[in-house]
Amino acid sequence: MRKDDEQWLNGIKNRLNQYEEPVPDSVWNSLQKELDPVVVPGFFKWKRMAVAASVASLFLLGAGGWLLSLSDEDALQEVRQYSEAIQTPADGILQSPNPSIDIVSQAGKDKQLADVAVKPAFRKRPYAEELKSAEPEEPLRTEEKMPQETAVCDSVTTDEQAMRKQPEKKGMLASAGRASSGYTSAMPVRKKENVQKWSVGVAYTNSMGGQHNTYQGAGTLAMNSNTSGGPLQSGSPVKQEQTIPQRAPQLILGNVAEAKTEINHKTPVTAGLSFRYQLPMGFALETGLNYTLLASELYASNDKGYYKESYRLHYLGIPLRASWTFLNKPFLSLYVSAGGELEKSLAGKYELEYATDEQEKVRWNDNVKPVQWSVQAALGVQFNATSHLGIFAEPGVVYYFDDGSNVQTIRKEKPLNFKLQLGVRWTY
Amino acid sequence: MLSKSLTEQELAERCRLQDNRARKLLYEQYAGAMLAVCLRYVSDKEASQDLLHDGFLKLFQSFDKFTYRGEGSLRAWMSRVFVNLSIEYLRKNDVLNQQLTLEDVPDSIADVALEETSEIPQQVLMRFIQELPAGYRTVFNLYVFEDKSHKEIAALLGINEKSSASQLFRAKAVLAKRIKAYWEKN
Repeated sequence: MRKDDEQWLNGIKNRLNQYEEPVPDSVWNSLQKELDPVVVPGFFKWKRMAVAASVASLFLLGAGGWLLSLSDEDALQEVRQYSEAIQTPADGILQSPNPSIDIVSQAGKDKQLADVAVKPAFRKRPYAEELKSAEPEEPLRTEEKMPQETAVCDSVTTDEQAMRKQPEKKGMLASAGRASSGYTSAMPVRKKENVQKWSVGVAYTNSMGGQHNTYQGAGTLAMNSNTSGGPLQSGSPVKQEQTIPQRAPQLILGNVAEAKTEINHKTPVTAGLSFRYQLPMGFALETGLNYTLLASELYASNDKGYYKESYRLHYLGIPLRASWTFLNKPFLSLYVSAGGELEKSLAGKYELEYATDEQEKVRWNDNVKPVQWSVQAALGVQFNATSHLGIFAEPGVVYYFDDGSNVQTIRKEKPLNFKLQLGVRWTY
Repeated sequence: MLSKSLTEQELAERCRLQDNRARKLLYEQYAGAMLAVCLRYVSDKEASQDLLHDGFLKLFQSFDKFTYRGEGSLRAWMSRVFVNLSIEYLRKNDVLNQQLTLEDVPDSIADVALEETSEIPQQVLMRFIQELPAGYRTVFNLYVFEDKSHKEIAALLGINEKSSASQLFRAKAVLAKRIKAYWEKN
């Protein structure tokens, strides 16, 4: 200190600077109420993660089992219908129970869809317009425009608007009767979402769409088989010198009644990265990047020959979703989300091969690069192992709009489908 | 994820990011010391607890204004917040003018050795300071603990420098007497 004879004051200072008065729990309890719920750090973390992982996997098994049993039934039903249709005699024109499989003029439409570039997801108006413009291109689609589609556009636009505003701080002075109430600092009463704004997630999505079936008769993955043998129109421009073979298995193989077809739609798998931004009131906006692999194989054969088709489509998609968390506890969050996704096939190969005793082996491949729009809604369950790390499961439904390509993907056969997304989310 | 091995700077940064775990950790590490600060100034136990609560709330929102300046800077910053809150409380409750009657104040300051203050139990010392009249106590605290000059104290409390000096003298005199009396008994 200042003077030698004030050493004793230094003594007091040093002594009491180390002093800690015991604090009653009531102080922290009332503090905690005014802040966000606090997660007990460290000690129970691993236990909770183990619990979360096991519950999530149980959930997956349960959901997966139920959905698989569901989809197999439907798939078999459709396939039977389809093969019955093919076996219908008469003029050999391919009939089908589903109007969406009919021949549609492809060229003009495909060009239009190809022009739709993958625009950045945050542009408000063009996204809404593009989504709506996908619809009028489908003259033969019997389903009405999904009522939720407009709602999705609207919710997407309003959430984007909300995102531009700064989240407002709501204040509430808790210390009404206190002596120190003179100063006016706003005590924020915040929900957890406002505090931690950014989340990044990695996820794996499984659509319940895998089918592997064998049936009598001949089928095809290509949608616009032209029995007259004329030029087929595909998703990409065809070189003049390339002769497109006909793709009508019943003409190739002849007696389809005794043909056997094996069709294998592989379960589409998606893996992706997501970025979520929290808004006030429990809302959040999410976008990301998804890679999806869509593949199918068909093999039809009879005593005359065989007919083999396959395609592999690699999609890159940008989803845009809005979600609302309606339950937010330290360990568990529940939310609903809705949104859409734009996917572009970056690489897609369609291969055809057939040979009969009258026809030499024909092999042909084509690049198909459709643009795929979809909308989805999901319910999400997130187990928070720590305040930054959570495991989530989002079962939901997804509807795939017709992408206008000729390829009969599982998304065309079953445009409305269940999906289950599992992932891990980091929140900052 | 959060453990006591967080540095002061990391803790401050996480609090700035409004990480609730960090906030709790901050509270657990410093609440005792900060309550002690409040008690030294305000003396009343319940009022001190209220100030502790209000102070931490204020701190949690003010981390944007805090810049880490080396070891101990976090505590120093927190301490200042609580000191200011305490003085504001005292001013509002108009207790700064309490004075002892002249007979109770010794004429001179007894000679207290350094060992006599370093050996005395902390609770006893705290009690001696708390039992000082508010005016003396505040001047004493600001002079000894916050290293303020009489000029600064005068400005802070709205008194003049001479008053600050004389109140300090009286605080020291009373304290010294009590410390000596304690050692005579024990």
